[in-house]
Amino acid sequence: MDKSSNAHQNAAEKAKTGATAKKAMFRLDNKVAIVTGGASGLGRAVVELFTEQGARAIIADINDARGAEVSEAVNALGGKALFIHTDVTQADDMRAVVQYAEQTYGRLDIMVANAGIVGTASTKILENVEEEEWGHIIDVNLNGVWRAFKYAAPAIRRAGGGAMTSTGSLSSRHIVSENFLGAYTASKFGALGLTAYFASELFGDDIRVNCVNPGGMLTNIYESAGWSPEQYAAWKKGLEDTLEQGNKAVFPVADPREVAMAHLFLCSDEASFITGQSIDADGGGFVKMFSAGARSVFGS
Amino acid sequence: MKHTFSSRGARYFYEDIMVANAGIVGTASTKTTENVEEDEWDHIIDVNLSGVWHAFKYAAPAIRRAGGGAMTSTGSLSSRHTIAAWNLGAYTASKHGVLGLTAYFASELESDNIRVNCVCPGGMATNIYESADWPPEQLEVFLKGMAATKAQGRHAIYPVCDPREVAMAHLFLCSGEASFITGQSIDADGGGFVRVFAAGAKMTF
Repeated sequence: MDKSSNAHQNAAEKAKTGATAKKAMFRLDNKVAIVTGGASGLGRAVVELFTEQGARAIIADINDARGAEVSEAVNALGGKALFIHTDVTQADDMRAVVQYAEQTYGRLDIMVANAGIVGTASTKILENVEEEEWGHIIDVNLNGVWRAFKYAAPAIRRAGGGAMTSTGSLSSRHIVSENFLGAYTASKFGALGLTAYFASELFGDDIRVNCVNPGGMLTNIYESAGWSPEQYAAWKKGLEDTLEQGNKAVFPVADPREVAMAHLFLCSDEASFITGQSIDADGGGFVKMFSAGARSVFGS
Repeated sequence: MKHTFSSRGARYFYEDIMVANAGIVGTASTKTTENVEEDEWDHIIDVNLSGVWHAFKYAAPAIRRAGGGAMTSTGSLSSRHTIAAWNLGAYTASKHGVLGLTAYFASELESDNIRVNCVCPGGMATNIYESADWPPEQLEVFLKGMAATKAQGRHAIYPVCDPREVAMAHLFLCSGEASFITGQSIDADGGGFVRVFAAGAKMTF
């Protein structure tokens, strides 16, 4: 359908149902959302999807160049996205981005605490992880979620309620061993527990709080591992190849948009009775991988 | 089930979605588990657990022919928890079974592009307790209680929702939006489980 016939249909629709019908057209119409880590990977997909659904998004990220690029791309498509330089390890930054949302739009409805890294801690076994490597990943992945929710909750309460989600991981519930993800696993288990507990404290304020646990997903998270360019390229190529295989892969890899859909559901009014929960979006990968292991151990 | 499918298959050519939702509490839910009779036990297991198996078993080939689709079952908070306040032994067994069955079906149908998930409702104002065969007065008291709790909205310790709020989870899981979600379950309980448990903890400590 080309643009003119689309516009024609919209006009016809308006005439039929009245101009106010547009109000209920998209699922996040009139909502204001902050997305941490919104400049790349899953966060970017959340920003794109939420703005397509009518939300005004604030991209809270440490990468200025990418933040500007995403907001431009969204705005070029008619969406509304703004970039605010935000480091989730800095309380002042989190406080400021929430304040910015309220000053600019008069409200905050949604917080997506998504920023996450694997860090250089994910290149070695736990006993060899250095203090500062440990401190950094916990500060981003766990403390970052705490700060996002802590500073967003009062604003969402002032807006009369809303929703918050965090990005967990299959590593929020499982030990996916032999991949140096000890510190990452600790941080993501923590994020899941924190999210569920926050939900219990905010029941009475009509603020729902849930977690999305991705499995395999093609993002740039391993940039934070400090690998050599060749190692990173090989890793990325592997993910791209697996993405191509679709659900035939033992551990399927998602386009971030497929996982962002779970954030959309949980942040929309459709999930009105769902709080303190988590959704694993792994394409069945956990079960398939475990089953592959079981077959190799017990025969098939 | 088999008959339903072959005839519908002929009429509509393909199926995309199966929602295996039918469920009862049955007369088994009026007594402790050791006092449940054989036929009461069989009936609730037959409807709640075998019913889901039948639904998925006969729908899967049709959905496969359609090139893929989605199936959901209706579990319960009793799919994962033991809520000891009511006589829900047989019900709990059936609903735990539903969750396991659903996850297992998912593992068998992944390569056919058929996603299989479970929705676990908490408090919900439905007519499920009609199947308990209570005296009319008791059912009326129960339904009134549900309606009163529902009216309290989110301020109830164990909130009761309109079925539409739980149906939204089925919609999400059956739609293309859940394309990367299979073998999972979503609890739609308005936070009720945690709040009831917290109430118990407050009493104890």
